Amino acid sequence: MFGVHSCQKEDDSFIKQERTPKTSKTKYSITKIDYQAVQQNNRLVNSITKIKEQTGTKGSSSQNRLVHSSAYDFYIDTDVATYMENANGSYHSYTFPVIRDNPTVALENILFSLQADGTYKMSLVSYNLSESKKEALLNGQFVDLTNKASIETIDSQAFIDETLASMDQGNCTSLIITYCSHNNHLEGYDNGSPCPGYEIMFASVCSGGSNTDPDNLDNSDVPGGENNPGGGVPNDTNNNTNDATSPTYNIPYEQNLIECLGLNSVENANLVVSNWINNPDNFFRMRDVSSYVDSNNCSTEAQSFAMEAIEAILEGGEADFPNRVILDSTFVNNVQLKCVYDKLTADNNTLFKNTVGAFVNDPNFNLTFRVGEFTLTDDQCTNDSDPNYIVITFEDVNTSPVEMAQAILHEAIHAELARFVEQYLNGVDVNNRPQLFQYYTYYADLYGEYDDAIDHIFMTKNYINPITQALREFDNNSYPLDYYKSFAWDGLRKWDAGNLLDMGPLADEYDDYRVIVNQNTTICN
Amino acid sequence: MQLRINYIILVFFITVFSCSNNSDKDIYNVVINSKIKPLPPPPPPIKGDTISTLSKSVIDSLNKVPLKIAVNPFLLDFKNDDTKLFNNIDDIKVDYFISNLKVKREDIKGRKSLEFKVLEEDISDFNSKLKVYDGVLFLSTIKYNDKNNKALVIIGYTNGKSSSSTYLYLLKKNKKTWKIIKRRRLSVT
Repeated sequence: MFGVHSCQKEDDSFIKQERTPKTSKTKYSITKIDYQAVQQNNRLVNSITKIKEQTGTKGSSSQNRLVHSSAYDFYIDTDVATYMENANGSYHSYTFPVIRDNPTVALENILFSLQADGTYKMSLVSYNLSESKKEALLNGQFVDLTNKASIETIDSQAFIDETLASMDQGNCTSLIITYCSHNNHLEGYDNGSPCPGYEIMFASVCSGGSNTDPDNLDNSDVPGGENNPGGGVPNDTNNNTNDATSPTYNIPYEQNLIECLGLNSVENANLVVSNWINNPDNFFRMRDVSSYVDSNNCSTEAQSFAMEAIEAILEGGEADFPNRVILDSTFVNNVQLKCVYDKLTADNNTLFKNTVGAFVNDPNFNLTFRVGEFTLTDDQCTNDSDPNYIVITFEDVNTSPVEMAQAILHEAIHAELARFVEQYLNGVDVNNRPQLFQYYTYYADLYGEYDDAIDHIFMTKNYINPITQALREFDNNSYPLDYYKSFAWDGLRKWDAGNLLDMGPLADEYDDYRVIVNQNTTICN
Repeated sequence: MQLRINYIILVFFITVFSCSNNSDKDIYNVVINSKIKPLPPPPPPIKGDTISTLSKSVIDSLNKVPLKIAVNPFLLDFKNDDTKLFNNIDDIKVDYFISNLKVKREDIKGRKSLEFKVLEEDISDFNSKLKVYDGVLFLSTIKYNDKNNKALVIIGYTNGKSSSSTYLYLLKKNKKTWKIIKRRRLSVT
């Protein structure tokens, strides 16, 4: 168990850690936040921008998560931050990783600490660690930071006077480190809650020469737990006078991705892909790819999809990683079609989840959407000649958004059925669709083998209502279900073996409804 | 005079051997009859573990349903990967250039209930054609192995809006009869 409290001079930094017999919990809430959350705090963004403006920019833009300071010659990585807030919300701070071209210490952070006047004080926090200690910190393990941390106030124009004054007064910063003693969760958190082996360490890092003050530790409010080593917190976090920070680092996405794809080996070297990965302008998309391979344990299938995704992106396309779908540049460049796809993705209705979404958990099957020409139809088609790489091509893009949504869903059902049949033919036990097997057997002597007719007849029986429901949802439930039935029957009218389409006198009415929907829908229009 | 006779003989042989290949006609007949079917009845409800099959008499009656088929005048082309879909195609050679070869009407054959009309021009408006015809048929050239006992052919069929498919067939000749060994769906709409 460690309780930590120390102060330091700028040129003589140290942290003193003390063992304490008690366990502890922090009165600060500690949250990891991302770029989007940072951007929501205008005052913080202004402070970050101030650094950039005062010191000049190099290779950074509002769209770039790296903010460069030429005066300090470092980048602030705004992709990730640690947000700390005291109990009553009167104090908070943001801590960002700092990146240098030639780092002299293993880990540097910039701290934006809220002051009484509502402005932010900026400080550079340095952790002088060995590579192995840094690795341990990255892995959420306990690292002894005694004499390893130092803090330096950044003299931005807004705070220069106060900063000098506070340095003279020996202002201190609370340093809080959370970790998991079981090494099972980074920083001791599991989905936002402390993990079973959650541990926390407190320290105070000072600039200006004040001494360690053990009395400033507060272990009175501590939970029990044999694995919790305890620590100390400043006495009054409700009326905080110290700044508070916690070591903050970003995952080395670029390095992880390059290693996973084997691009660091001579035989797999691919300069174009490597350059794309290392280009800061591509950071967010690169991060998506890196996170994807990481979450799939860098499997062969994940590597394959990642390479396919990068190549699509290089050619102007996109990758929908949550659904494991490649969106070809021809598809992405069709604004309306892409809008329809995005709306269906956002709706996340059951049909979309069960068709396009079925490719998510099956790394053996990839799905691509594109726009192009096709000989046999002027609508759209699903090329499943290689069921492991199914391509859906849209030829007619001059249709209404609801018709586009229907086309996507119709083809996605074909793609999913093709995936299902391929699995079955390869011996995978997918015996959870007895009706499809019934159709297959029933029509075997008529068609010989599995035929698209079976797909279509099966769809009339099982998918008309889900398509209708999904289209209504797509149109923000603007009209009753009957208004979307005519769309759902597109591509299936000739396959109504069960005579389900016998709408009788309502048939014309449904067609009239279709016109009304097409004229009035506001989605992607 | 002798030159003239030779010329006539040459023209005769060219005419005879450039006429439709019987194998082409037989193969088209097999794949067309396999692919083009009228709408079948729905399966009956499942009773226990027993799954019924379509009876022979129903299949026979379905094969007698008349269908009016438009045939696209240009032959489909093979793609690079088509030959990789089967692993027993022997030495069948496939050229990948765009052929623009036209369908020979005399090669198009199917069961008696099917009526074919080769279109004058490449189809551009499916909707108008499908108001007149039950479906639009697309065929590729036929590729043979050196022994002429195996063949590859692509057939496509469209019978409505968002309702079409293409299949690659591998056929083998047993004695004088071509039979489908394998088929693979290339696309579906």
